[in-house]
Amino acid sequence: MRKVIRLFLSYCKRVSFFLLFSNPLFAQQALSSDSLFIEYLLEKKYYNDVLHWTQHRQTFPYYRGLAFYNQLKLDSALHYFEQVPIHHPNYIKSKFLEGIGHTFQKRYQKADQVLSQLSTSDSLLTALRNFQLAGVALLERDTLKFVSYRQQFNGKYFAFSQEEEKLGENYRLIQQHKHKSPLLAGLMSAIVPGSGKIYAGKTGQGLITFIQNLALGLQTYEAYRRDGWKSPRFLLYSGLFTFFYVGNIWGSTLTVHIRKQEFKDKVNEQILFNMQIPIRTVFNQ
Amino acid sequence: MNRFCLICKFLSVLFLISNESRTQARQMADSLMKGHEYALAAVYYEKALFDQNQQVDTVISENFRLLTNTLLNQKIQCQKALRTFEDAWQTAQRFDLNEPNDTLQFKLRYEGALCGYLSQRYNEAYGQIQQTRFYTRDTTLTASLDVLEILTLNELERWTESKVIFARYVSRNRLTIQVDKLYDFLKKKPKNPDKAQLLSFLMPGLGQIYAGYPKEGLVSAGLQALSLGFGVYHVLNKYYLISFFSGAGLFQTFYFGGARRASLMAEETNRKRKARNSQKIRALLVENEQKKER
Repeated sequence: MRKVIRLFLSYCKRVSFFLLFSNPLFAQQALSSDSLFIEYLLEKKYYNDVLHWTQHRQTFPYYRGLAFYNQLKLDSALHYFEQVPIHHPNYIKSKFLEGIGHTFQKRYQKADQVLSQLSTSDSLLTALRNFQLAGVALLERDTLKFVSYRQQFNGKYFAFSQEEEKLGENYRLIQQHKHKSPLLAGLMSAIVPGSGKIYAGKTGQGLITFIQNLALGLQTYEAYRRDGWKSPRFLLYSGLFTFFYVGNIWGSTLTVHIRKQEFKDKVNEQILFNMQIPIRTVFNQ
Repeated sequence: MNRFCLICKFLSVLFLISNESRTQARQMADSLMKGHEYALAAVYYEKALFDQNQQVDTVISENFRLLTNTLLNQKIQCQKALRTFEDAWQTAQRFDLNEPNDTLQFKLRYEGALCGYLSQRYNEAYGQIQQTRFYTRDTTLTASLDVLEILTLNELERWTESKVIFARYVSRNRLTIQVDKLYDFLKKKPKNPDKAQLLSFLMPGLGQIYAGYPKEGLVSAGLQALSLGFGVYHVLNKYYLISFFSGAGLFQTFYFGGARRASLMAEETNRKRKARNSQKIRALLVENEQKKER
């Protein structure tokens, strides 16, 4: 009987040991296996699969953010990057991605806030943070702020030394860009049709407009010369000429605005591109 | 002794857990597939594949290959149900085709070719069909490739080859379809876009009529006649500038625009004809295959 009790106690001890250690072990193993699987899916670029897999697993905001980021669904990506806890191994990376995400969405102040609040101990990451902040300042056209960040550029880090130079070039381009007056363009077009567009930088369009106005003007003149100003032919052609002439003046002022916007978009695109390259290189993203 | 016994039990539990996780993902995927939750089922099949790859050293290579191909095939079924054919094609590229079993190998290769067709990669699908014919020794199996080959050749506009295979398909299945009549459209030459353009240059509107759009041809010719008439009328009345800029300007716009449009219309007619002929043959094949299944 004693032997049976001893055996029973021994069995109970083993079962309790198993129950005590196996469940957390199993849970831990499942969690690490899940992470490995998600990383495997990300590597294979199965972003939709990542989203399906993590749909009911709220413990993976970083991976969900990354999948959305790679699908260029920035709003959703930012929502999940914001949820990444501070102790997460990829917290810093997610903050950088959050920063660039806000930048892409033209929320420059928010990007500046996220990056400014980020504390980095590593010198490379500190330099990268400074570089990103410089980019955001340039996008905001805050040249004073940009210059203060640029003073900290040291060209020491291979990952973004070239981009530091390119950002400097973008700054020079902005400084050197001549601002054109829409009023002057309109006035020029009123005197010589099409000349306002040439002034705005659209030479081809300007020449076509000139020929168009000239042709209509000549036809109006012919109608006036042959039939007088009361004739329906003259009224039709003079109406057409007036329409095109006034449209050309208005179009010239608009062209100046369009050119300004085009220049702004082009430079912003270059800045964003220069900001994105170091993120890709440093975080392999 | 007691400690040894405990260690053994502990290790066996770990082994059971890892083995369990391998089968768990597949079971979950199967049940999700039954419940028509194809998107999640596809991910679970991928998880089962991933778990299997983690334990590649502990599995016999033959079993490993068989299981991998089965899981991939299941994943493809999910992707086809989701109509993400491009993904299905990509998955099909991962099949391990070193399969000695002829039937199994045929099944995998057929699936690859089918995914190629569904993802509109017709040239690649045709290549896969030819490879399947080459590698499969059993001709009773390759006979079932005919339908897919006809459909693929039709999409590639290789109608003559498609006709030969269709004739073979008809005789194999003892059908009463007149192949020559079905492929009657081969006698009609496709519309030549350059010829349509040239015709419109020679006689306004003729290119559109040649392309199969007589009404548009008449409208084009009418517009050109009107603009030309306007120009001539003004020349006769000594309005030279109006005649030149308005009359001649409008005429040249309609003249060159009409010719360009005739060329586009010829292409459009060819596209429509191809779709119509393809659809006619596809409907016949589908109807016959459905009858066979019944």
